[in-house]
Amino acid sequence: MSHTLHREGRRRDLRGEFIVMSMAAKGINDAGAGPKLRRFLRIARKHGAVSVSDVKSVMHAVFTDIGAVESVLRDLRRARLGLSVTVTGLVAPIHRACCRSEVAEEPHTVAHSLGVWGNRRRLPSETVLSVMTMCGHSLVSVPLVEQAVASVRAGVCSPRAAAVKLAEPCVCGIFNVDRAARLIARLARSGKRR
Amino acid sequence: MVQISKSKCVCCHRCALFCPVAAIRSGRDGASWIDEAICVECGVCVRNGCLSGAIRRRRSPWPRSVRALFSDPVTKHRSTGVPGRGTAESKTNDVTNRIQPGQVGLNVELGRPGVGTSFHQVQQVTRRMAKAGAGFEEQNPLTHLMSDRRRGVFPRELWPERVLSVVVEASLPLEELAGVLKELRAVERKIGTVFSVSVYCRWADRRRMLALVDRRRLLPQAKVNVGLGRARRQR
Ligand code: SF4
Ligand code: SF4
Repeated sequence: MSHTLHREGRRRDLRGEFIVMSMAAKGINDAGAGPKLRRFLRIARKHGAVSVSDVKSVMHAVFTDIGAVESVLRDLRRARLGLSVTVTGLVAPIHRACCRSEVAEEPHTVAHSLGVWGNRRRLPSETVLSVMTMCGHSLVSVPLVEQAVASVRAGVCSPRAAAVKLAEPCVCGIFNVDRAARLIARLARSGKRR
Repeated sequence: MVQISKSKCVCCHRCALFCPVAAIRSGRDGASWIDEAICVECGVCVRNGCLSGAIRRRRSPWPRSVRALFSDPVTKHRSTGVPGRGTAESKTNDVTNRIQPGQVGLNVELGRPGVGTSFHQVQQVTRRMAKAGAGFEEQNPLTHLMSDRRRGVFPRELWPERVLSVVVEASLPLEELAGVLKELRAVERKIGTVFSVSVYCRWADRRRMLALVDRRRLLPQAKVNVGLGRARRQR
């Protein structure tokens, strides 16, 4: 599952989006992992995660500020949970946060996205794609995004309320409502449909 | 199989808005119906779309059962124990050490974002990858479905089955990455769907790996396993 990695978006938009995830490895350290995963969620909430979720023992927390991520990493290091922790976002700030929190000078593994290949004509516009790909399992449909934009343009609801509705199908809870609201407002202003 | 009960449907068409692959249509009588050929059984219309309880879901028999398995992230596959389509790949590499120094993990996620894919299209990719020497990940549910892992071939009855997305996971020595990416470039010109590509390695190998990929394709973000995981002896 590389579902947090392939988020589309401009560098400046991604500056305020970090997803911290924790899980145990099956057959290696998953025995008795439940209380540790709940501890992870408590630490994430304490440092202001904008959304947290638990999908069958894979924990996700979304942050808009790398300072908060650094504090989470520091607390996780002290807690010695022994669970794997990954952070998705711009790589340089994450590396700095690892060093400052004294988790590691050198992280363990890094994954990079090479983007979307193949028949790209089948994709919607860049901004609609940025909203859709916040759900890494592609459960947020293009018509739903278009309807959210139309509702905001017609003054029926606020960008934030539209973004909260859009987040509903995302079962992992990694849909970033704050960034989605900004993108929806941008699409509504631009008058573009797709 | 996901179906709409005509007697319960109030013709609001809300479900059609939620369907990520546009499988829900409306008939002359105004009631919605699901095009079974297109539906990937992701479950979104059941969970979020219909407020009238008009959409029902039954377990599909083989080979159609693969649709929900790969499209609905809340289904857990027997072979991985992980909900969804792949293994934990880079996320737990600090305890599994699946990707060793000098190796690269390659993930090709077909159908994503939001287009969907057939197994015939998946095979177009896996055959090319196998030809270039990529070894498929044992623990990945997709690998289990292959009839010939060495050649990246799936049983013929699976070819027409459609899913929202699947993750092909492979690992290979770093020096072989360029050859596999070249095969993927060849297939991307012919395939009718989209696929998202990611590569991962040990942090110390990062520069070597990035020197082998087309920098213009790189997205700005990365997923970093910070190395807090510890293996424990289990019974
Ligand atoms: S299960 Fe998914 S693909 Fe099938 S009709 Fe419902 S939303 Fe569409
Ligand atoms: S949301 Fe439910 S009631 Fe409305 S059209 Fe779809 S199936 Fe019918």
